[in-house]
Amino acid sequence: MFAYIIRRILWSIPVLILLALTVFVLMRAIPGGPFDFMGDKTMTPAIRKNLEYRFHLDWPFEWQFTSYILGDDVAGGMCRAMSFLPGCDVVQKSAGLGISKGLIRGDLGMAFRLRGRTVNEMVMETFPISLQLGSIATVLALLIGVPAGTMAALKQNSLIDYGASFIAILGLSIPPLVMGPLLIWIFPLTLDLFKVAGWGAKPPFILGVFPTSLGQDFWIYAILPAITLGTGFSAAIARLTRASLLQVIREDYIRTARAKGLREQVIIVRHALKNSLIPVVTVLAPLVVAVVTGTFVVERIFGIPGMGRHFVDSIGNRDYPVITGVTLIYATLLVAGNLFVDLMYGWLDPRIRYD
Amino acid sequence: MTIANTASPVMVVPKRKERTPLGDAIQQLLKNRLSVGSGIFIIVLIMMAIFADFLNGYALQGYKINQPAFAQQVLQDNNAKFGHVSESPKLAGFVYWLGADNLGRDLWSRTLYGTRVSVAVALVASSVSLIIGLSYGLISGYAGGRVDELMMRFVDFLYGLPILIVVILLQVYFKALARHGAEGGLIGFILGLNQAMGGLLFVFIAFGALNWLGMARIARGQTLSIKQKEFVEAAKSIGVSTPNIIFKHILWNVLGPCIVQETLQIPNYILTEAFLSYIGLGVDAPTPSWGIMINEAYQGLRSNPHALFPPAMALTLTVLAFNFLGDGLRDAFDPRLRE
Repeated sequence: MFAYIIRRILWSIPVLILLALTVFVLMRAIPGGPFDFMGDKTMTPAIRKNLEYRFHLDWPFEWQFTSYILGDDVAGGMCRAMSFLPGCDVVQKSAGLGISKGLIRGDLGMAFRLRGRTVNEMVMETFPISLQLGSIATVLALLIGVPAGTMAALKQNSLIDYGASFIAILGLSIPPLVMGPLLIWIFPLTLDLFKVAGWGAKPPFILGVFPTSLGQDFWIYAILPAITLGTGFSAAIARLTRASLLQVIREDYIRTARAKGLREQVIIVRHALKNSLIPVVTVLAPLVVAVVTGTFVVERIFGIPGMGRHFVDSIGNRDYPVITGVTLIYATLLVAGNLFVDLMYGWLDPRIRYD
Repeated sequence: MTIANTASPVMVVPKRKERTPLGDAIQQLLKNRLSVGSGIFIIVLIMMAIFADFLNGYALQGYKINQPAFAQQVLQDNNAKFGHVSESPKLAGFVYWLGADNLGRDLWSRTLYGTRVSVAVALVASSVSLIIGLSYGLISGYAGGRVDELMMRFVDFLYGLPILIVVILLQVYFKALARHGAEGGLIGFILGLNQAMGGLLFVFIAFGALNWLGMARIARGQTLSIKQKEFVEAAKSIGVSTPNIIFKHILWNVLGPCIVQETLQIPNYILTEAFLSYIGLGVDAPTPSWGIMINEAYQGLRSNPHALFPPAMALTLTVLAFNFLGDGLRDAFDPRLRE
């Protein structure tokens, strides 16, 4: 299994580099550049030239990419060693500025439009907020989804079942785009409950991730976005849990467990529920993706200073390093999420072997 | 009992209606009232999208206007509430059934025209994904061996990309391209076409770029299992050509599950378009998309919450209908789920 994990991680590296390349190509193929404007005014050519020199934008494309992946000192070194390579004269002039140590050394570069800020700093400040939101929503979804699905399955074709199923499909169909504004209108605007446009936890975070206090100040901001994000997931989880539990409780080994005289609770929780969660885990993979990109939508609606908002802002500003960096973080998260889910299968279903 | 006796009585077999898997599935689907209702709702929605020019508030109430109804600005009636009767000179007596937005545009008409965008996205995005994914999966599954492995590795590779973000990046690129403009040539033609479609063409392209991946996997899996069935062997043994085997024998058996899967994906497409439009990366204003309308309503939520409801209801109901229909289709086509 260890070899399996290593192989999966190695396999994801070309994916991430390709993604970085795609973003690089796309952003630089757009007519115009990040330093065309300064505020509302057109930037003077001299300043623009200086800035482009500062951020290596005068380098040929392939050298910019090399610098992004390996660092500009390495790119400079390559040029010194092999000065016959095309574009090396430009590279050597400004390779010593040291704006990027390269992706392989964990440096996402400097932000173009926010003076003196590195992308790493921005990610460290905003990513924990997105992660907190996503985690709360996921926990909420599981806490509501699994019990609701279980109840519906155990009382199949009863009023509870129909009610739960109907609510589930309703919850699945109300998109965050509708739910968010609606909740904002009902609670903060009409009833004056909860707050929007902000987040209750500020850096520094414990271990770089967790909020320092989980008091009222935190929940007053967190609860509405978490509900908005979690509703759809909890509905999806409830439906799946129900469908799969219905299948499982008809299996022979459940009858065996009953015949042995086990308590109903034990049968359901230990024998049925665990096996019925396998298909639920299957959808957790797309759910991880949905949580990641969903925070994006919800952050936008609720004005939460998370990573998703930075992403959208940096797109407008043509801030290449921020766009590339945030995209890579999302992709890494996706890879990690998928791997986690695949490993969960093995834990839930011992028949699965990794090779 | 003699031998002669056994042959003489003619067995009377009661005539039974011939049953095909497809017929079974359709019957099963028709039993599901929610799905049937949803199907009808979707058909009505498509009709409304097609005939929006005749069903918008201005046309129905007999007001002739030069501009397309969704772009009509009557600043006097801005933020009109439900059922507000206009007193402005040009539109005296006009009733805003669902109210008006901050520019005085009739919300019923705008929501109606928004149907066009969502229906178009639902139909085109799903067809594109189905066609690309199905062909890719059929070829990969039928070819097998190294080709299959290579093709599926490529799909796995793309699967690692965060789709929504790639779509957003593509849209950023397309939007900038459109703003910058191009003279003549193929790109100029595409830009012109996109402008004529209110930015929808680029939405389609961005959606089509990656959304076929899941479909390709499903189609491949189905092809793998069906190509080993006896009837394919039989067809091969009597010398049916490969294209004929793929198109006549395998395709029709793969198609069912694929269409069901695609139907389940449609809400996803509609919501993605709405979100893209919400953040200003979807269709171009003033083309009304429910996403744009929700965004506009959201801006004025404090003073004019009524503008939120028409697009929000439309979006929710449409997604709900597609969800019910997809569920019904899945149940109908999967015999294991029948009671």
